[in-house]
Amino acid sequence: MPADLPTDGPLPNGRATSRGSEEPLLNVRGLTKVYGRQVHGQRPALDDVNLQLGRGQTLGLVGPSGSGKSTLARCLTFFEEPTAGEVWFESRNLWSLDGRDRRRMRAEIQIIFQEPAASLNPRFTAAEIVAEPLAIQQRGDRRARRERAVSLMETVGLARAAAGKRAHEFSGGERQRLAIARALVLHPKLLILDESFSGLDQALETQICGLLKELRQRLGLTMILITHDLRLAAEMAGEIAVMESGRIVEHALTGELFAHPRHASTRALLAATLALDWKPL
Amino acid sequence: MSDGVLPGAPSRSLLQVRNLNVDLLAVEGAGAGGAARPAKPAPILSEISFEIEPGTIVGLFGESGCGKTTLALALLNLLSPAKYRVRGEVRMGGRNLLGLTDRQLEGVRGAEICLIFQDPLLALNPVLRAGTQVSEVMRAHGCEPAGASLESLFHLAGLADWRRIAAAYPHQLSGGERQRVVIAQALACQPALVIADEPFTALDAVRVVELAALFRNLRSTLRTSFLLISHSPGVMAATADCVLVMHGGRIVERGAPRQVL
Repeated sequence: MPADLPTDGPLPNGRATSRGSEEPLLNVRGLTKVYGRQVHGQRPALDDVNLQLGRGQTLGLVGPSGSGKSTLARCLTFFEEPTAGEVWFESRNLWSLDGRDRRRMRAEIQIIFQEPAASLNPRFTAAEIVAEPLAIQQRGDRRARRERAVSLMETVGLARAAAGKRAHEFSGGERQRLAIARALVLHPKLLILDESFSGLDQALETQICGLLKELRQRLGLTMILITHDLRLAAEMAGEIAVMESGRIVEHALTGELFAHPRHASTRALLAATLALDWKPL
Repeated sequence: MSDGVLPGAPSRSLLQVRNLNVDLLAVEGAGAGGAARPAKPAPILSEISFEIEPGTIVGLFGESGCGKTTLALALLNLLSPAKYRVRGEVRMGGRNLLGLTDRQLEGVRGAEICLIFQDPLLALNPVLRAGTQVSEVMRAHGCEPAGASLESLFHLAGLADWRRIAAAYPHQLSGGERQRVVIAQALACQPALVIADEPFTALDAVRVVELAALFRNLRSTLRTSFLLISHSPGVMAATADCVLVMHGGRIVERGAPRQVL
């Protein structure tokens, strides 16, 4: 069980906390996403999702494949427009922004996908990959962007000498570090990790977990960790939301969820995780 | 599974791998411009020897990049000779699979040895219904007269609602259902050996436990053997009868999962 359970910040169900007066960084209200024309009886991909996340907190979003975890992430990062509902981020309604404001907001919320090799441009050098978001956001000159990229590579444990290598020359774990460096280069406030650990073996998983914890502390990052692995969510997150069929069916502090799982889906996930000889990372 | 291999001794094993070595061949001018191929031949697998007996689940465990998937491909002689040099023996039914022609291997691949990959979405055709895709495998290998009906295959793979699944396209199925359709495809010709390469990676724990039970059930009822590749110790403990641990292209340890892991 993780020792870093949150002692303050907003509780999952929105109850007041010791910092109850502080506004959450992220406030999702009634978010619904229907793909195509809704057929009678077919459930939407997201069905009235409500969620609050305080600054510096890490939320584990767990559930079976197809439960809507990635759709939620895509609605938070401008990849999918929700059918209904609102996403408030620092008092701004994301989907009411347009033009320059939306581009600026993209820098504040970054996402890392599952397969690093697929999300890294094979023609770019490592430094170009990490610096690309700076170029898109038109920040600094070429030299400053490269220097910032190389410095971030060092922050995530990649050697300065590797700046000229291309993605395929890195190992799986190194590629994931590169993806993390690229996500952090714009100083985001919210980092979403969408199954970013799935392809990694246990040793790499432990390494990347350690790196993210360190960065979270050092940079004051708020994180959403999307995973089908309850063990991983317990290791990284102070609170866990369980999704099923497009809905959040349970949302509690990690310790509470493990001690008193209320929903049948949570209980089944917990039982299966323990049956797989679960040990902390 | 047996540890040692006695040359010439009679064996009850289904599959015998003896001194398997795989080298990534050099390519001229490599090393410059970020080419993936080495400047001189690089060993990928070294002196791999093991056996799989009928009706057992052998786990192949190791970190990313240790050679697990390369070994699976080498067993089916699927590595390109233009890129890899493969030496050693992979014996099944008295034949060395590494010495067979492509034509001869057609009768082995899919019929005697099946391969299941990590991501069923990539393995399934997105524009064909699940039932059509399973029937296609049966037809291609001439398995239909053997009596394995679509319904019984889907039931074997744990798909009780078989009519709905058979009529669905891959995107209309859940991750667990898609993996079970791939398993039904693999079982279509009742192969003696199924090689499953990280089949559970994309699934949640509930689905992993269900499919681990399915593998063990198929092993007991049909005497199907499995070579299960995974980097998860939990999956190994829940599924495998014995485990081979790979590191740096070699098998460095072998034994019962609880003992090894």
